[in-house]
Amino acid sequence: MVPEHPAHSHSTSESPGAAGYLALVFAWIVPGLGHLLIGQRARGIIFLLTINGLFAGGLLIGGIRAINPPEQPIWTYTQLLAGAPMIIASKLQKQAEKNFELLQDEYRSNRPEEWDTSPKKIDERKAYAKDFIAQHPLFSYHPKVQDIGSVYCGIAGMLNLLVMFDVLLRITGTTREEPAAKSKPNPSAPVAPPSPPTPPAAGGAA
Amino acid sequence: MNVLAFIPLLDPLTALYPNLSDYWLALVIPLIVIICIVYKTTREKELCKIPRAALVMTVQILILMAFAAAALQGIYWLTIRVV
Repeated sequence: MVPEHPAHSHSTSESPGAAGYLALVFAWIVPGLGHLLIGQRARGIIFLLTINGLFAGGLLIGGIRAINPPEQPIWTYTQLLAGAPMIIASKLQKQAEKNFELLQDEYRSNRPEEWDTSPKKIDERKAYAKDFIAQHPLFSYHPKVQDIGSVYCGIAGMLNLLVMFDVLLRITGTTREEPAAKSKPNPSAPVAPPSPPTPPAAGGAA
Repeated sequence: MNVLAFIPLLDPLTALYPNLSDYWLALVIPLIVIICIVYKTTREKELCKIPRAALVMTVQILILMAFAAAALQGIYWLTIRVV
């Protein structure tokens, strides 16, 4: 276990050492593991549950296609910050994408004629699409919900970046600057007695 | 919908609940709650203060978002009226 420096105690930063950097790497691989390794068990468990839960929530809502959303690479980069969950999900997504392409071909080949716009044919196509989605739920697509799923996974990654910074601050013993403390004087700080007026330097102009 | 065909975490939830997209905005609330919990866990020195601090921050964000939505709606309404 990596010894944790007393955070919020002094403002000078020092090298965290190899073990500290290892904790940082583990913090990326499994969100929350970095804190567990530096002895912050409660915080580690909170991060473990919330960040991984958020990532899983994104997958539950948007499905595997919420990972690596097409034409939105920014979310892919942020999702990568979530570590191992994203790496596993990304592999599953690539497999699912192949299945999806096969499903698309199957859907197109059996669909009632698209050129026919008569109400009867339109109803037939709607019923066909409904049946197809019932058999292959992966084919279901609702852009807003899919986007929310991508956002959940992306935000999980960004929160993990915040947690990694927190691990770095704790292992280096760096103190955060509190905005409130900056503007207000500390009332608990001992008040220095007023210093006597300094005598004029000897040899000065009289 | 064939429930047995649904695989959680692989298939989108809309396959099971097609009307979920009507309530997409409500899905922002759990996201805000988790952001607040994680942020406050990194900031608070005492763990017992985290639930209250996270709750306060969640409410603040939701109120701010409601104000922003109302302001944007007002601007939109004015734009439609004037232009």
